[in-house]
Amino acid sequence: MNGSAVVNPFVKFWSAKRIFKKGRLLGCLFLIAFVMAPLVCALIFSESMIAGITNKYIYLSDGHLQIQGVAYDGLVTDDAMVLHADSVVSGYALVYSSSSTSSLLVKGVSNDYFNESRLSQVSFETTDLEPSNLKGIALSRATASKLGVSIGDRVALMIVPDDASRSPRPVLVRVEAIFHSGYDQLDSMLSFVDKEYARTLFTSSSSVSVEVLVDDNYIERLDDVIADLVLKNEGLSLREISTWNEHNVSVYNNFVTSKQMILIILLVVIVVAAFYTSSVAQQMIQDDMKPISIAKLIGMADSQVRLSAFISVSSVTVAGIVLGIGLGIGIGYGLGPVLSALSNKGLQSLSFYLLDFVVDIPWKSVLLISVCLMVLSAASVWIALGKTRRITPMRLFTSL
Amino acid sequence: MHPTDRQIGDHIDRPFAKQFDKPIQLLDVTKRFKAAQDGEGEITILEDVDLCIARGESTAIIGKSGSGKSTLLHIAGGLDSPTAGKVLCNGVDFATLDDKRRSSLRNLHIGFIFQANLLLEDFTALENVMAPAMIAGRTARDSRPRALSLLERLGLGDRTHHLPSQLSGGEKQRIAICRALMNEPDVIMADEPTGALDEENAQEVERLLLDLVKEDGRSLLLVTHNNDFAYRCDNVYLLKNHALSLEKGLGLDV
Repeated sequence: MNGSAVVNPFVKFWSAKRIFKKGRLLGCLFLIAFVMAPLVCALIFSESMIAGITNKYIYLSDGHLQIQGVAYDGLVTDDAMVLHADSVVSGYALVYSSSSTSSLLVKGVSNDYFNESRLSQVSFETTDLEPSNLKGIALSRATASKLGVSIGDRVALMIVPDDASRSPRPVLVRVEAIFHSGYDQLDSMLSFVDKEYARTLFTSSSSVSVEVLVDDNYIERLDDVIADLVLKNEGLSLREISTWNEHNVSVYNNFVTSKQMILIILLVVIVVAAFYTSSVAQQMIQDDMKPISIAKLIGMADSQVRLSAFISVSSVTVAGIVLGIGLGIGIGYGLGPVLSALSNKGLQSLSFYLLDFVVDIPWKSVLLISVCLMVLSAASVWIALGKTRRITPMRLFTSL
Repeated sequence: MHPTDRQIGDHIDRPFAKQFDKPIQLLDVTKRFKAAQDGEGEITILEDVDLCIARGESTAIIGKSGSGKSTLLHIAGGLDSPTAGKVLCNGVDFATLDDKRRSSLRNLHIGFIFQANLLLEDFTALENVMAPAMIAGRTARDSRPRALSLLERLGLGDRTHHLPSQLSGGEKQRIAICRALMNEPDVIMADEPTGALDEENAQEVERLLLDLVKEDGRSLLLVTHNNDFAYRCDNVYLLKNHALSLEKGLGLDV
């Protein structure tokens, strides 16, 4: 049997023996696992939360695409690309209660606006109310709490008229529903009224827009959807259409920066972990000077010694990574219900976070950090193992 | 293919290597050490030493402590390099080989036994004996029968799964002998193999070594203080004043 074609049996045998005999190696395995688990958990948490917040903005505030300025009630769309296209009338208003004030985006929407997709992002509380001449408004739980109102209470809307010749005047509305999306930062600036009523409040053409929700398969191909809309709708120009991220530049950029920062931090931690594994390899060589010298005495080549140590440390690194990913995913999934419970408690300090989100494993990022850790540790361990060249069988006799 | 690959014997059965009548040859070997790490002076250990180990013969080197017997054995076994001169193993000069080929040459053609048995402490007796064959590329499954038969032959059949720490000095040394014989080497090199044993065990190891070498037609290069043991070999050389002189036997012209 020619040992050069495959990994030498003794190399495999010795590598396996080292893994199970060396407490230090098993310690390394658990350390890598304990480094990886929070990293994966942090990735799951951040990416899932960002995806969740993005969805809140898309489904409740802006749509995947927004066509500004014109009421395209009869927008022609490709059913495969576009799930919903809803005409919306909106504007800003100050809302007064007897105890507080809040500035809100008042969105006038039709009855079918809250379709299945949107209702998956928000929950409504309603009660049967006595008929009233007052128009209804849906406030968020955060706003209602701030204003100190509940369903059935009246609030005043102060709308700044588009026409400068008209003076602002308040109108009374009744709180008919309270909604909660789970993300207070967005909730606290939104309110919903009937679309026809909104037309009477916001008369400017710029108050009108169409929110387009795109099929999942086209979310990454919004340019194609935009091109199709322009093609199918005469008079519709590209400049009237904006994507969610163009409409919320600062929010989007914050997300991008957050993701990049998280990845950079993870990579820094990974570099430290990789160098730790190389120091474990060095220590292993230091501890194993005598057996290495004996192995060389009976004919083990330096390359075989190096490969054996490399296989031992790398197997442990890979096992640590796999264990860490498993733990991280487990904790990530387990964290969902805990955060959801915290969210429902309405803790003030957590109001900046979306805590009730669907846990989604960011496989690409997990794979990226795993590969980085493997490559970096492999390289640093291989370099560290260069020390084995200096261990010769003669060491056995000079040190005896 | 490297010109010496066939001679080294990448294949463990290496029939070609058996054709050499002189498995080990030392030609004009000189070894000097620096007097101290920073010193300029040198200490001469060996000076223009010639030695030829013939196939099937046992050769002993005797001499006072510090005369350079072990150094000679280390050089003959390719563990250490001479300051000048050549060491040939089956006609291949150790100095011309890279680490991989030199290790392979040592693994396949030379079996070592030392006073300190130098067993791998984490390996069982059986694993220690199998190690040279596995290093040569054989699987554990292929190596096991010969290792077991060697252990059985040396009376260690019931000790196969014991760790060295669970064995007596004599047993450890017998395992070291099994390991040295595992790859059916051309030469066994033994440095004070009985030095750490009591008289009974020492005599047992002496008998085993000489019998095994004789029965299997291997060569033995023995370094010892023990003149009785040495004079049971075919050839005896005295190492004195950095040079070898033949004390017993015919020797063999290099």
